[in-house]
Amino acid sequence: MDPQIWLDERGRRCPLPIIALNRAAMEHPAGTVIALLSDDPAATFDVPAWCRLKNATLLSESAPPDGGAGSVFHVQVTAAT
Amino acid sequence: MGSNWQPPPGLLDGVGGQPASATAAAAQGAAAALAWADPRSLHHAGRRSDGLLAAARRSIADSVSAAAGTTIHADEVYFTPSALAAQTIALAGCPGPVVMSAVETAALLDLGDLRDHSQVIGVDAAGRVDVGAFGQAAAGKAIAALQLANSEVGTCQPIEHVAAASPGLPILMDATGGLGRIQLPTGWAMLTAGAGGWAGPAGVAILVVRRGGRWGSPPASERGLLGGFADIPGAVGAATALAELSAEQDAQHDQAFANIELLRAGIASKITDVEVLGDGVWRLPHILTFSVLYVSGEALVLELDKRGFAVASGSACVAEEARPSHVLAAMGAYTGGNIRISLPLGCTTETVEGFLDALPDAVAAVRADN
Repeated sequence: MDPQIWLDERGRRCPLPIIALNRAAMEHPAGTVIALLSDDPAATFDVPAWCRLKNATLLSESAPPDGGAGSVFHVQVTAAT
Repeated sequence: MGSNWQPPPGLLDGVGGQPASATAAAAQGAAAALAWADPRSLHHAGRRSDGLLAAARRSIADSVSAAAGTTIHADEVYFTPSALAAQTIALAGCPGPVVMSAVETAALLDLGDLRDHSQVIGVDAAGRVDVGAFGQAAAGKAIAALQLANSEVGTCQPIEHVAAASPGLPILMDATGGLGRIQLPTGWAMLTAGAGGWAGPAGVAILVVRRGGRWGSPPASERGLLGGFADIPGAVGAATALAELSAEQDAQHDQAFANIELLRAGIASKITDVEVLGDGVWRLPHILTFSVLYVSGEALVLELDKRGFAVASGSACVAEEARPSHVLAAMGAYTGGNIRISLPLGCTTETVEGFLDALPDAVAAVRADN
């Protein structure tokens, strides 16, 4: 599923990437797929934990397409998020 | 109650240290005037040092016996400068691979990783190790390292079940934070604990080695001293502090347990988007950790400090901390906005209620900056 929203949060430390993810999730309807790029070492733990707490679905965590540092998280907003 | 210990108002980071009780401070001061000589010396002053050291070992053995419900002998007790030194020496007595939980201290995990074929066993969301996986990994290992309870999240480990699942494997139990607070399980072969956990001196730790283990006495031990330990007044202070706490263990336990219960319920009801972590029941009485979404843990620590409350954090929201707490990560917990509360001995319910009053404003102040 291709993401509709891209959030480039590289260079920003916690809690900023999670705040951006939450804001985007609140502004978009259920079903929306958000791609979050982050090189914050806490994101590896906090994106899955945020998805669990907010009933969002973590679709995947993968290397950034440009081969840079960090990860791309694909998160799907659900009705409960 | 609370008369023996007088922690400063607002101190909710007891794991990070608290002032010694008057009794323990006086005992240590008196010992400093008497036990200045090398206890190995044969002259009068040396024998006096040796006598005080022997008395401190006996006292620690008595306190650990009371907590363990079984007799620990004085010659099973050793003093070291730190819990890490105690663990290093204990591991040195059991060469070979280590099986350990993912929530041991970072330093112990590093020591275990130095050995080929060592294995780290994961924990559940509460921080409790997987007993089945631990037992399966026990085959071919020289030693197991498993804490009594986690000092960050408070959750107790199933030592007795792990011992039953890995027969014959000696368990090195890190009891820092738990000794003096809760009863000890059976099944461990060696115990380590830092005296800071019972309001003793920060530079004193103990290693207890049960008789009948793979080695009679730890390597490089001399008269109960290990790892270059030479602070006999400190050992006297540590022994006095533990004896004092042991005599009041039940009362201190019940008061702290109730205060943490108050905090667990209060935090969950007063703050939105918060995750209260660790086991709510099978835990150390005085420890609680929680994560607040959309705030930096460090910013929240500073905001609470402004309001007179000293707490710790396992977050890594500043550049100096490369990674968040490995304990929170192993539990799959949210690591940002993390606050750890550890009640010092003598902490009052008023302090806890004051914290609950201050927390919503502190969280709101940090979130307002987002």
